[in-house]
Amino acid sequence: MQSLLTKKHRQMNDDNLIPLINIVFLMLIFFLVAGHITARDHALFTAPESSQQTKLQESDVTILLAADESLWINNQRVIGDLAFHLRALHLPPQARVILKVDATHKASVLDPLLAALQSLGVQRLKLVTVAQKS
Amino acid sequence: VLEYRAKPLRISLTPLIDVVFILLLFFMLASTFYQWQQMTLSSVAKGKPAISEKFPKQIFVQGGNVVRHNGVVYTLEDAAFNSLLNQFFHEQVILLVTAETPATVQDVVAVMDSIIAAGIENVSLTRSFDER
Repeated sequence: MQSLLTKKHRQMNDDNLIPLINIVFLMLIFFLVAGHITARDHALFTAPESSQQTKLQESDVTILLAADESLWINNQRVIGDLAFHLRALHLPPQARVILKVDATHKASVLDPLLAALQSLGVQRLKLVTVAQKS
Repeated sequence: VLEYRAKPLRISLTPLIDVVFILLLFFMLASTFYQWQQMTLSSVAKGKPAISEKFPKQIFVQGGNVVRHNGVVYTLEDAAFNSLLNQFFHEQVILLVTAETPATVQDVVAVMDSIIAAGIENVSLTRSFDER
């Protein structure tokens, strides 16, 4: 009798879990569908807001100038001459270069980046932005 | 004759919810909701327009939605600035955008946005300009 009661009690507990599991499943589906998993940047950076609706395309090189002014090439911390590090990558002129620059930086921080890329013959590059908040 | 009556199989929900919770935690921590976009930048060297540029026009970004062209100061919301951009569009000019010292990256992007929205395609970013 005792074991029967315990079993019944356990079954009842499991039944109580069903609404919980429903909600957890719904949350799981939401994160699966709405989110996307990408490699995280190694440093904090706030992208400038833009009204352009062009989706970010694949790139060969990603240059990140983070909020703390640290410089990263393909998620590797770089110290010293940017042009030297870029030359080591042996980029062809048609290389797709993506620039991630913190929105709060002075525009003059782009100068050495642009100069280094020009010295390699890379003319067109993409600046990463986010959708403008309405 | 022995009669075999199969007991109804009842799966315990506890291991299932354990796994689902772990999956949920993983997706909550690993997912991002950013919709990255891109803006194409073409750059020319400081004070050195490209060979094809016959009569490039230059816009100086002063920061805080303020721009300057030919000594006249505009804000991005000015109707005069929009008509200037329309004029540039119809003349099919090559436009050079130069950031002055106080301008931030966000200011430059805002100006580039206005220019691209006006339909101007030949726009290049020149290196920063310090009047001092």
